Amino acid sequence: MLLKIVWKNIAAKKLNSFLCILLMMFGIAIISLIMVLGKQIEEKFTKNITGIDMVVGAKGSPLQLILSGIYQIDSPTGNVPLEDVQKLTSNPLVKEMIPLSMGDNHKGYRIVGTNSKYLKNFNAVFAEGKTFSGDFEAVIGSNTAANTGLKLGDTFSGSHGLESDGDVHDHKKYKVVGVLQQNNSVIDNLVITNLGSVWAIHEHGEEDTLAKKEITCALIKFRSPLGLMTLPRNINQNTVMQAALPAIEINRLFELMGVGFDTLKILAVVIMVISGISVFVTLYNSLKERKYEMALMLSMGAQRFKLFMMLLLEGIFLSLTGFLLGIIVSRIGVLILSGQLNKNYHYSLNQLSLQSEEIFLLIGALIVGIFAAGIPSLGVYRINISKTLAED
Amino acid sequence: MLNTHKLVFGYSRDKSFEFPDIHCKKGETCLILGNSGTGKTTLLNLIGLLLKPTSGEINLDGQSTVSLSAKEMIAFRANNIGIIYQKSHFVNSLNVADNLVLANYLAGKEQNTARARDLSQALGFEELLSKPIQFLSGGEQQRVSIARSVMNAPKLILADEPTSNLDDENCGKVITLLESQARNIGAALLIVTHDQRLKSKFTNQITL
Repeated sequence: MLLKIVWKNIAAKKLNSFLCILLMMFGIAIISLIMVLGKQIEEKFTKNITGIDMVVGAKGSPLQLILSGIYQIDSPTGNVPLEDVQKLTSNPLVKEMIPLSMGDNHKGYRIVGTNSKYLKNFNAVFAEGKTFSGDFEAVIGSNTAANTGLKLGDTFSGSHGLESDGDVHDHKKYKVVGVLQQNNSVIDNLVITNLGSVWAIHEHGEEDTLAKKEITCALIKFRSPLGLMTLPRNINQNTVMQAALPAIEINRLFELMGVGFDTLKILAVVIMVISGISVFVTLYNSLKERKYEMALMLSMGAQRFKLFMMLLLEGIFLSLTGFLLGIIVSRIGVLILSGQLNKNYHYSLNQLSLQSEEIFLLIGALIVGIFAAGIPSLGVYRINISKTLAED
Repeated sequence: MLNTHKLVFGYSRDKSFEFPDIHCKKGETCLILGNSGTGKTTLLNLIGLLLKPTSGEINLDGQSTVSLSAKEMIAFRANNIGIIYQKSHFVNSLNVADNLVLANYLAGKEQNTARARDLSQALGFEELLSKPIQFLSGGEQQRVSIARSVMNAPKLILADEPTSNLDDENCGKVITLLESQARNIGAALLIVTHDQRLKSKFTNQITL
């Protein structure tokens, strides 16, 4: 019966209830969205780093080098002679060097010239076909395959640049020899071929075999952590190349993003508090109007504690509904953002499950609801039955 | 059924009321007349256990109510006393039928919808049961109040100015219904009023 009254009261004040729920919903949605996004981006970023200790490329911004070399989202810093990079492999601290050469794309999906070690580094598994063995043979990632419609045995041409609107190199065509399974890493969105193909495409007839072979960057794995101490400094000081450490650069990136995230979180908390104030005002006003009702129920045998709980439940119901809607909105937001990211950066987010941190959000929402509803509801204990009922 | 003895209630040192003794038998109606400011509502609140007297004795069906603890008082009032207020008070978010069974619920009894329906038939508002309270006219609201006051079959019904807001026709109807309902459940009926129209209807009268 009391629950019925709670529900009827909420339904009777549709606009007020709507406002409370709306505010709570936005607060929760923003915080939850930030948490999910932050976590997913961090996961994506860390997964792609695995196994790569250092990136070597042309001088410029180290962050740019990491973003272009590992994540394939920024433009490369320039080219470096393959010869110089190969010298590094003679260093006993270097375990493996994976050269990367990019500059072309197919329908916005980057064509990366490399060797088979690159695929091995990500533990790529073939859905069909095999790895590239000769020039103009290409392996495509799962997203590339799904979104460009390329199939095993298809041929396609690359266009110049990293955006999809460059000049088309139609004098030579690639052939798809392998399609990869979903890997949840950067290779899902790539076209991977050998270095020779990328070089050949850009030769434009002039047979200049003496021309120095250049690559965009190289991913380096160390044999021991000792490499971290000496090699980057050595390269940065003594060569024309630059060495960047992904772990450090990504931490820096997260710190920069963290400032933005924190600001948004504070904003969201403020919205939640405003929602609490709105619940407070709504209940405070309604309790004034419903003083007669309360006195009546008290005179008919209701316990004050029960009426207090009844009013409290109204606030809790509003904040819980706001919480649930907020979580739903945040998931819809993740889906929309995921679509945007996929379109612009070929990055997709996939986790829609409940995050453990959202338990704290739930507790936060409940505390806001309980306080906002509890304080005015205490008024039930101050009602003087006979006086209130005698008033007109 | 109801007997009071030397009831005194003081709001402050200067303002206090002394009430004449009241005796009201089972099934009988007792009319308490008085102008504004003579303590009519105070007396009703004392008998209805909404206020505690400064001194004096109230006895309802053999039970001395003055000595009850606060908790016992709430339960005793819910089960044994039905109150009809001058201004009809309802829980506005509930419909008419729910307002009636609310009396059962708050007294800790099973919600008796059959009784609510029977009473609405007897009092002539059966078609209003599913309507929101705000849709009812003053006379209709007063009839619902009467039904609610007898939902728990109390031993005593207290009515505070039940007719003051009603026209002559409704006044007559409401009083007749009130009396017949009280008689049906064998309750003592105490009407507190300044409405002179009721004077001729009852013999057991006390003027404050």
